[in-house]
Amino acid sequence: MKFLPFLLRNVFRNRRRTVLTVTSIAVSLFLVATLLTVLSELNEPPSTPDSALRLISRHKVSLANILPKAHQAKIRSVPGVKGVCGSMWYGGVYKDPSNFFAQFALTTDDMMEVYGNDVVMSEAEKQAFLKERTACVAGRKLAKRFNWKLGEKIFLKGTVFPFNAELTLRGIYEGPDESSLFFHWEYFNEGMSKEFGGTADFCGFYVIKAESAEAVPIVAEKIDALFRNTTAPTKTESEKSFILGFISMLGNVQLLITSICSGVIFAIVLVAANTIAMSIRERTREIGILKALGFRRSQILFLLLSEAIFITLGGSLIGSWGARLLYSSIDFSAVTAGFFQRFYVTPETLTLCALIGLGVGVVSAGVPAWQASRRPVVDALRRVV
Amino acid sequence: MSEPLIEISALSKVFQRDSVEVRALDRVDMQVFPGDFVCLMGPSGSGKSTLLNIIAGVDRPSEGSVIVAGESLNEMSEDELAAWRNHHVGFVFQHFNLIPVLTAFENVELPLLLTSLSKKERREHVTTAMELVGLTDRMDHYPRQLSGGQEQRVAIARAIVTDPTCVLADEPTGDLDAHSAREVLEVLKGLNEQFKKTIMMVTHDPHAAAYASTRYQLEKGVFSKEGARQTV
Ligand SMILES: Nc1ncnc2c1ncn2[C@@H]1O[C@H](COP(=O)(O)OP(=O)(O)O)[C@@H](O)[C@H]1O
Ligand SMILES: [Mg+2]
Repeated sequence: MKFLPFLLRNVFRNRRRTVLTVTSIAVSLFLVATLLTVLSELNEPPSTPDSALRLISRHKVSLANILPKAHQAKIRSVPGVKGVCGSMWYGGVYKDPSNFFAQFALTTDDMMEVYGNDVVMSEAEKQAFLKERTACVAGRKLAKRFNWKLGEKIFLKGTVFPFNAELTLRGIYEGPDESSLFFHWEYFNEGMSKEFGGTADFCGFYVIKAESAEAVPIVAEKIDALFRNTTAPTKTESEKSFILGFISMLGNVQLLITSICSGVIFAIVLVAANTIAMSIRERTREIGILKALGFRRSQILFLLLSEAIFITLGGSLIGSWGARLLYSSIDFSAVTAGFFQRFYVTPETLTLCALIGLGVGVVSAGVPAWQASRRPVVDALRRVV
Repeated sequence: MSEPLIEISALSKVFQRDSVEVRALDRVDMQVFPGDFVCLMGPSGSGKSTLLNIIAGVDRPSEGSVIVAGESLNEMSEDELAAWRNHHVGFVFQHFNLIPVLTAFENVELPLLLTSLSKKERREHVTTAMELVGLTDRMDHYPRQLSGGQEQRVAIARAIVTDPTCVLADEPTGDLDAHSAREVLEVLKGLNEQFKKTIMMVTHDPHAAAYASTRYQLEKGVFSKEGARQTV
């Protein structure tokens, strides 16, 4: 500890160089922390007591294949099922394609049962929504984004479907996801039937509420068994694994992110190694003097390594904690149009970043510090400058 | 006469440079007694620094033995030598003695960081050493704020702060003007006379040599006959 002041003087000996090195490491670890958070958010979608009871049933072939509306009643009859909502991803455009947000046409009979505390509105709003065919509800963040008030007329232009939805906002809900819009499936189906000149009667997928967490896997199995030999077989899974599966469609995100992080770390090792080697080499004579005064080799090694670690660890702490502070003050759901409900730099990520900082210090200072600690005093003293 | 403090016998040092062997010291014998002020003279390349470095325990002999204060340096490991240096030797170099990022006070304190002294004790020791070299008013100055002579005096304070057995100085006035050189030499002389410190100094300068009580003349790695131990 009594060497600390000496160590700090050495760290700030070349102030500009140190600031530049710390900054480059901080920026790099800010990026690493961000990427790791993307990964952890994707792998760990926010969960609530209600979401843990939900299942998603979709067509076995793909999410793009539709399911008959008739499935809903059959699913409801499966033991262990508390409620079923038919749902359709509408994908309309509000004013401009850049205003993207999630819109679902939903059968409203079991809606409150299925979503429970994940979609919370006043009783008046609920009733107003349920009784009006063209009503819709929007999440609080979504409403705030477009400055919508109750009674707002919302015109959505169909892109996937040849049907435009003319909606009236009757409720603003709160919950873990406040970035979506729900409207009546019956209204959607009516529009589609008109277009097709007959009956449409299909859903994209079913959102199911199980009676208990234990029932979830059993219910999934029973539903799939029910439709196994029909023209519309299903694949049913918990909402969480559905979301994870949906994300895996984005490609091997995990591999991509890990590779980028490795590349970034490799680059900072190069930067740090170069800087640290230079700062040690310049001090060859001083290190010789320290040894002449009686500093042991291990003490020299310790001083030089601590100095490097101070810089690299410092940079990594600034970067990763900076990311945490920044992201905790930003509404990520608004920035990413609901893709990330939250963006939380976890303690695991912070720890990992600290370890990376430590490792970069040891790796980049290791060889030059070792060599400097071993160099014979007379050799070191001969070196002027 | 008392026991010699430094006893060197048949000391040789051979440097291997490419395929050429340079014999920097050739079977040198030497005795230094407690309280001596020894001056080592000789042309450039005659082996003065090499001899001093070996006595200081920063270099090792090729052959021969070095005994300082009853301890044989030949047998010590690197770490033992480091501890030994901290305890027994105060070293003053010709130039760039001080660590530029530390103040005069901190430079002098450096060797004490390796001891078990408390912060308060270290402060006392440093203050005493700075008093001896007459620089108590320069404690918080950085090396670049000091003149060459002052820098060397700080280096001397650092060399004596651990109260070592001997002070070894390699051309301590080599870079200084006559006035500053005299200041530095007076400090060394004072240490020798008042505190009976054993001092061994390498120099080119006959004026500097005049301060010493004993003079050695090195020529190509051996003491020249007439110059070998000349007590003033
Ligand atoms: N590390 C070394 N490698 C090779 N030769 C050296 C080394 N150190 C000293 N020498 C040689 O040893 C001789 C004595 O050097 P030195 O003791 O520095 O002389 P002085 O201090 O008297 O000028 C010189 O010829 C010098 O070139
Ligand atoms: Mg020399």
